[in-house]
Amino acid sequence: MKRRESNPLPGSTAMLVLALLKGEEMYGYQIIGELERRSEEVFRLKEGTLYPLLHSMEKEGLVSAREGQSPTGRPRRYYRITGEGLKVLEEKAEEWRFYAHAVSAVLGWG
Amino acid sequence: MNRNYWLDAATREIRFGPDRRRVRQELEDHILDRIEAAKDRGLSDHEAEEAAVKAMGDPGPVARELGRLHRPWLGYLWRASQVLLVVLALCIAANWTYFRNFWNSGPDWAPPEPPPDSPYVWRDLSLGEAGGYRFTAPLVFWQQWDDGTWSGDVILQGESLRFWEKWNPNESILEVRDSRGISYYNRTCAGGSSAEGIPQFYYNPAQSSYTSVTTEIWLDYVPDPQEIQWLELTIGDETLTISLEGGGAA
Repeated sequence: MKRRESNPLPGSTAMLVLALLKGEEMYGYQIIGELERRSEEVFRLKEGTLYPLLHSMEKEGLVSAREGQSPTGRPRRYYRITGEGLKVLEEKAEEWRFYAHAVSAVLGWG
Repeated sequence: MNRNYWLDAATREIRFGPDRRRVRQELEDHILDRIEAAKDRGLSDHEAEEAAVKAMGDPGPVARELGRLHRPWLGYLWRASQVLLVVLALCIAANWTYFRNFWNSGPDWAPPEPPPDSPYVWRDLSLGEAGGYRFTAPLVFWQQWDDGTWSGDVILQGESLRFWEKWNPNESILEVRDSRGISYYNRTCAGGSSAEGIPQFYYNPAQSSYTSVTTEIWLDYVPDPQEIQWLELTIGDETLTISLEGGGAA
């Protein structure tokens, strides 16, 4: 499949980021890398847009952040999912399953 | 576009300095990681930086979103509250003696002991309210001296939950009268000098805590105290009556 520069599924980037953070604590650059790797490079963000997304999720209490350090000693901000974030992820994933099921049914894949 | 240009553009709408620097640092960390990765693939320093900045995308929408998320007034409010706290702490430190005295003042004071053989002792009399304080007299007694003269002691305690106010008995007890109409001469007002022979009173400086004030009123040259049915203290505009009927119990 062709690489996409923008998010083909509006509103789903937050869900994908939450899903990545469910496993472990991550920093921004790592999130971008994991997103590309796990989606086999289908999802590629304009990387700068990840940060407003992370900061707004932090503000909403879906993720929390801590100041840490990179192995080379640079200050680095690590994000982890909160209980509220897990709840929202669960809801979004459920909506998505429902939607995917409906699309599959219409396309006659079911 | 070099990375500093991109970083400045992406963070320019964050008004609060400390927030802006923190976000800029986070974005720069990302770009530096991206540059390292590009160089590992064999790109030159310049090419790597170009590629990294390009991958970040247009700084305009990022700046708008970040500006919206990092509202300045919250930051300023936080900073202002910090400054205020420091100023307050400095004020308290600078006036520490005053603050300590405000809540807990007066010399170390122990209530007097009535003479063991005196029949004229009253304890824990409730006096009612005056000036927002609830007054009690934990101890009142008469005492006769070797020369036959009598003196009296009234421990007066005022309590109020309004700890921010302070009743100062040294300024407001103006008058002491007894049931026979005798008005006691205020020796405290007269600078503490003794007036031999005439009924008089003075009081020790009060001891106070957050919510209570205690003062000791000492009456001297009290004629025939056993005939006194009540004492009246005028505090400011209000009057407290200390009922001494029925004699005291030792």
